[in-house]
Amino acid sequence: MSAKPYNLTYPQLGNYDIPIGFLVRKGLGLAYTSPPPMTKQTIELGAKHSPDYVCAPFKCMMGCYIEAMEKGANVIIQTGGTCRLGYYGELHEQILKDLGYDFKIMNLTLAQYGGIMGILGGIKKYAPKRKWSQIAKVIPTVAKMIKSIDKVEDYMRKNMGFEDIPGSFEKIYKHFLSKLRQAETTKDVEELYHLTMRSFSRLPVHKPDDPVRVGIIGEYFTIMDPFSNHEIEKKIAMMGAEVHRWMDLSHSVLSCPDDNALDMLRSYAKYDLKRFPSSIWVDSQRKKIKKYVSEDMGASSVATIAMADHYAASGFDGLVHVKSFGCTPEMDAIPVLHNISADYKIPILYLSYDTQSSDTGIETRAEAFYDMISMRKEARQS
Amino acid sequence: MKIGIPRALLYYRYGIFWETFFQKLGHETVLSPRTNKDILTKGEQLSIDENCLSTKLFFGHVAALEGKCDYCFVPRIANLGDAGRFCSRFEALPDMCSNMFRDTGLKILRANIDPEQNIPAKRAYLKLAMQLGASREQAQAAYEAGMAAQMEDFRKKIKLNRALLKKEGIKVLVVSHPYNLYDEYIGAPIIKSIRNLDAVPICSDGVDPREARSKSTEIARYVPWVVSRELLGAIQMYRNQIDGIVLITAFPCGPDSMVNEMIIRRISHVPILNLLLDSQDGNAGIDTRLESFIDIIRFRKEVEQ
Repeated sequence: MSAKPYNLTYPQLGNYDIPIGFLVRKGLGLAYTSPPPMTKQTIELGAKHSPDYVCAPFKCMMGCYIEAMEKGANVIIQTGGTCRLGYYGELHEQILKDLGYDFKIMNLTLAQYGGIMGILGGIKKYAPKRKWSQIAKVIPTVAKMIKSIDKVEDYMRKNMGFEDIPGSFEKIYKHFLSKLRQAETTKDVEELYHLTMRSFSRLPVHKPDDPVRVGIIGEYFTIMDPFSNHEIEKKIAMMGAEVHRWMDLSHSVLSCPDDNALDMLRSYAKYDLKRFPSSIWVDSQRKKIKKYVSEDMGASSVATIAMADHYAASGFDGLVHVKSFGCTPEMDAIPVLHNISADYKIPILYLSYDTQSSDTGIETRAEAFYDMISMRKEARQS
Repeated sequence: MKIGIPRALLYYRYGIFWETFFQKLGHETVLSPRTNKDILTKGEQLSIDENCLSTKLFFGHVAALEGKCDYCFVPRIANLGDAGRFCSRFEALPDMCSNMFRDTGLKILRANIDPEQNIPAKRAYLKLAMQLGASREQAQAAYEAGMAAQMEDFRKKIKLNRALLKKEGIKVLVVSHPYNLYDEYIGAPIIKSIRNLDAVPICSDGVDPREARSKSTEIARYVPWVVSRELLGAIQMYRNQIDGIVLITAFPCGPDSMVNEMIIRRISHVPILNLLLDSQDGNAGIDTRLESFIDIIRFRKEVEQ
């Protein structure tokens, strides 16, 4: 295996394989293979080789790894996190080795490396000749890519449901993604972003002054991966709603939600890998939901509750809670969501996904939910 | 003051410490009764379906303390520093309970143990004692008395296992979280069944936890959870002295969903039976599986001899 050059891969997570691939190719100077877009087959393949009742993201990632390795990848990246995610790597490795694959794993969990320096060292092992300055140089472009994707998608969620020409938003979005894959510099990304936003703003829409507004909250992976959540955002938006979602890589990893610069600086200075990825937001969000929660409840649960409270207080018409089946931190948030729902009188649709979830089932529930909240809104307005 | 302690989850790890600690401080402790049908039913009503059986039982036990105590003790125990983390459920329990029981008269007594965020257990318990009106000296004394009682209990369990391992007959290591092992509705009937089949059940928590955690890396290196590490360690320490392993899991336990898979893939020379429990009535299915498992072990032994 040492004879073959390294070829890295990271599982599908929305469209974030674009910045991650860029980081690997331009930063580390290594080959990168994007896993093929997820299909039903990917999930079935992953589920077949995973423990029965492990959470769905494990199975999705398993399917992605297998498909990417069939395409030529030989180093798989795993990131770790504060929940079960922290143990994905070792088990993925064992199962894939038992299947006979020849590969290495870049397993960026704390249990393996201890701290940030250890993790950086672990990454560097794969590109020993690369200078740190060469790696650092691409970081601003990677960050810009992530932020552009998040902002473009945010605009889509809020407006695509009111387009006059069916598919007009989708068309520009697809063009944006394909151009982003070819971007080389921060300037390329910036220009592409502005061009895309300009094209969006020129599209004819008929948005009412007070549209139905829906907030999406929930588990880190399932909420960010449209394939895993059966495109719940698009489904609801297209029924005629403004869909809001705070959770994305920009908000969870890159920028602090603190209001003033000093707090922000303090949060960055305290960046704590042991609480990744919640480190930069968990404390400030916790302050905002004191009446419900006094402590960090683990992983993404505090963000779920804080955003639910924020949307409810802003007069949203409904919330959709998205998670994979068995996700412990998100299950733990549910008693609090019950109380928020009762206090603000806001309906919440709870969706729990596993690898068997049927598209029709999700569609039916989303439709019924949308009908209910839009009727409630009409009743209140008249 | 009357302090209620739910007989579930980490009670089976820290219960002796908690009771001694509060009693030394001059408080009365009230334990919820052993798990029974009412507790299970109540717990299932309070909880969402997806939670593990052990958590449902916990809520049933908390509900059983309503009106029986001034405060119900539900600490947040996030991790033990380098020894590892707990399942994130144990970070969330106090806030879950305060939200679930918000409209009842039940008051929650909290403690926050999180060495990763610089709050080691000792500091958390001393702070709690002083909140309850104790002086620093009293708090210190109660903490030490609690620790001593806890250590004594550990030693007793280790001694018991040593004696059991010397016994004749088929020895089965029963591997599960202590809150499953000793619960009337989860582990206890299984342990009894093993005994009825003329085999010797050996509980996985009868090991020195520190030694077990360091031994666990010989099976799997990067397991983040304290209890899972100790279970792996117990397997590693006893694997040459036992004839079989029974894994008991409360569906859909997060850590077990992955660690059990690892155990099955990496332990090859000992037969393993994996029992997945959900809230159910009757143990006939499980008894049948246990019976055939013990039969296979017996048959293997005869062939080897």
